[in-house]
Amino acid sequence: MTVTVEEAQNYLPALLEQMNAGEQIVITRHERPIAMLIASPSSEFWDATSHTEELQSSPRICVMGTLLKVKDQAFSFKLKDGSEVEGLLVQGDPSEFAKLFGQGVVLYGKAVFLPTGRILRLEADDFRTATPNDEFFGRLPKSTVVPTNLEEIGRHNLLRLENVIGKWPGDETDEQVAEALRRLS
Amino acid sequence: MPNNFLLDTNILVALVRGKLFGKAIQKHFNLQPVLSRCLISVVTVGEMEKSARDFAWNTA
Repeated sequence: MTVTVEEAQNYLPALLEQMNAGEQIVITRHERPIAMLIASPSSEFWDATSHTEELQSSPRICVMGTLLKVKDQAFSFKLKDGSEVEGLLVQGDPSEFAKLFGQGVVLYGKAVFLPTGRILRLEADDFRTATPNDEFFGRLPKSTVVPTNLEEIGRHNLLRLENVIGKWPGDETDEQVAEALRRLS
Repeated sequence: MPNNFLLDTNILVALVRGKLFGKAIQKHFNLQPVLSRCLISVVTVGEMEKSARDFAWNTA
């Protein structure tokens, strides 16, 4: 179903009901699609995304791809760019999941990244059959983990430790410094 | 011997003072080649700033 921006403004509650009933609603301006109403994932999805720490290490994702291999809870998932990712169904019925073998699927869950920033695996806790409009979710988000390369940091580190060794700026005695450290601990 | 070190405040202080203890640490852990990669925690940064204030370095 296609509606204009004005229609969306005037009839939003009714459109939301239609969307929940399975209707896909595209909003247009000057006869060009500019937005789409998509049903929200389950409330657990949003609860989980509120945990910032978890989000940083294993961000919540929504990604579309093709289910290539399913064995028990393990699966392989082909993304839009042709790359394949291993995954694990951590919640949900594996037999229902297996029925989607070879089909386009939208997964909700976590992307677990290696410290290098490469994807390690997907952990899916919800899924549904993909529609053509889900192409938008065809790419994985990038890792939020910043790779730590001390060699690189050292090369660009202007405040080098060797420049301050032996250059204590004050005239404190060893006893005064020891006392200051004691007070800090 | 590891290539990377996280220096606690007392070790950093010893190194910067450059006296016998600091030199002994440097030699024992062979720190010279890896000095530019040594790390300190934010706690150590805070402790050094507090010490600098206590020693009134900024008023010189």
